This record gives sequence, C-alpha cells and structure tokens, in this order.
Amino acid sequence: MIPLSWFLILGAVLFTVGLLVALLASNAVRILMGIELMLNAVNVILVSYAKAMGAPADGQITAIFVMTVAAAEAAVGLAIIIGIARNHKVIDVDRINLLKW
Amino acid sequence: MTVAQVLFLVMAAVTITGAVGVLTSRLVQHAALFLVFSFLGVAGVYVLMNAGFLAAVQILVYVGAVTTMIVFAVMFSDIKEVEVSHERSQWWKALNREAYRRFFWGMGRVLVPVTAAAFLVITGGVFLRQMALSAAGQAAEGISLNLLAHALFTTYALPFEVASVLLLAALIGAVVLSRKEGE
Repeated sequence: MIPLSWFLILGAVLFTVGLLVALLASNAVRILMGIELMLNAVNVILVSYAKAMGAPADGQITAIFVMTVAAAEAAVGLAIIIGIARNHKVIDVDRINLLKW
Repeated sequence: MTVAQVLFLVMAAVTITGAVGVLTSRLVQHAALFLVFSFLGVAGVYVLMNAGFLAAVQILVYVGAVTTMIVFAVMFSDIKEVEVSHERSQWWKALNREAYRRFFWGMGRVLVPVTAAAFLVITGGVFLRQMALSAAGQAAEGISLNLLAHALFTTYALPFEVASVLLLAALIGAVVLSRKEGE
C-alpha cells in the first residue's frame, strides 16, 4: 500500500517543475510542454485524493475531463504557434510582443 | 518496503527525470522526448493507483496524440531559430555543449530500459494479481470500466456533452488558425 503523501509529493514536485518550464522557457512550444506537465501533476493529485477519500470513480472521471481540456488546449495552442511561426518567423515569446502590426 | 512502493519510487523517478529533462534540454526536440518519459511515468503511477483505464487513456492521449502534435509544431516552426534563441539565453549558455550531449545520451540509456522494465513489472504484476483474485472468486481490485462508463453517462452526462462541444470548438479553431491565408 502506497501512502497518499507520496502521490502528493510527486504531484507537487511535478507541478513545480512544470511551472519552472512554463516560466523560464522562451520557446512557445516548451511553454506548452510545461503546461501539460502541470496538468499531469494535478491529475495525479486528483486521482490519488479521490482514491483516499473513497470515491475513485469520480476522481478518475474528473481526470478524464482534465485530459480532454488539456488536449483541446494543446491543439489550439499549437495551431496558434504554427500561425505565429508562419507570419513572424519566430516562436520566441520574448520577441513576440506585438498584438497587431 | 513493499514491491508497490519500490515500483512507485521508480515511476516517480522516471516522471521527475523526464520533467527535469524538459526543463534543461537545449533542443526542443529533446524536450519533447523527455516529455514522453514524464507522461509514461504518470501512466505507471495511475496503474499503481488501480486506475488502469486512466493509464491507457494517458498513453493514448498524451504519449500518442499530444506528443505527436508537439513534434509537428516543432517541425513546422523554424527549428534553426529555436536553437539560436536558446543559445542566446543565459540559462542555456551555462550548459556546455559536450556535457549536455553526454547527459542526454546517458539519460536515454538509463531511462529507456528502466521505464520499459518498470512497465512490464507493473502491468504483469497487476494482471497476475487480478487473475489470482478472480481464481479465488473475489471481485477484481479497483473500479471496473463498467462502473466508470455508467457514472460518465449518468451522473456526468452534462459535463460529457460540454466536453464534446469543447472538442468540436477546438477542432474547428485549430483548423481555422493553422490554415493558410486566402485558401
């Protein structure tokens, strides 16, 4: 039996690393990777808590919804990045600082 | 320490190493590969939580679809620019090219067999355990797909429909955004 705290620590560490990726990276694709890591961390915590609270089905279904939203977000985000790369020739967020030009 | 705990520690190590690899790798393509390990580690953790279906969904959606999309985006956006912009920043300059190369290949040599072996042990262990339980006439551990599907189509029917609308909107949005002008 694995204690709940282990899952929570894993989730916290994974979330922190994902946050660092999203904040430190200058490449837009890598920022999206950081967001995906954070969503994964949240899912781990969600499922482990639901299991510890005695309602595993609810936690797993919520996690599936989080995955749905994450997939939709990745699709739209990457489409935006491809559009920016086509118009702008850069996907460095430090250099994408104009909304309209 | 039980076998499950050891397997959890291995999977947690794979997950965290993959995440740190995403943070520290110089090339975006390498970051995408490290991301695969992180996702696989999370899938292993799901199996250890008796959430086998979620692990399958994790591998299908994240390892299969999301990573493919990310690699596509890296391919379509200018890779040379990606490299230059990383050399430009202080954070990446600190990593020596040769040391980085050695780190990356070393990680690959360790991570691939460790992840594969841990997955084999975990899935095999869960399978044998369920077989033993059903042979003893007991109900299987964890929640069945039956129960999950029933909850999804009764209690969570409205969020399910909303999610389908969201996916449709994302589909149309992605097509519109990535389409070339004037087509």
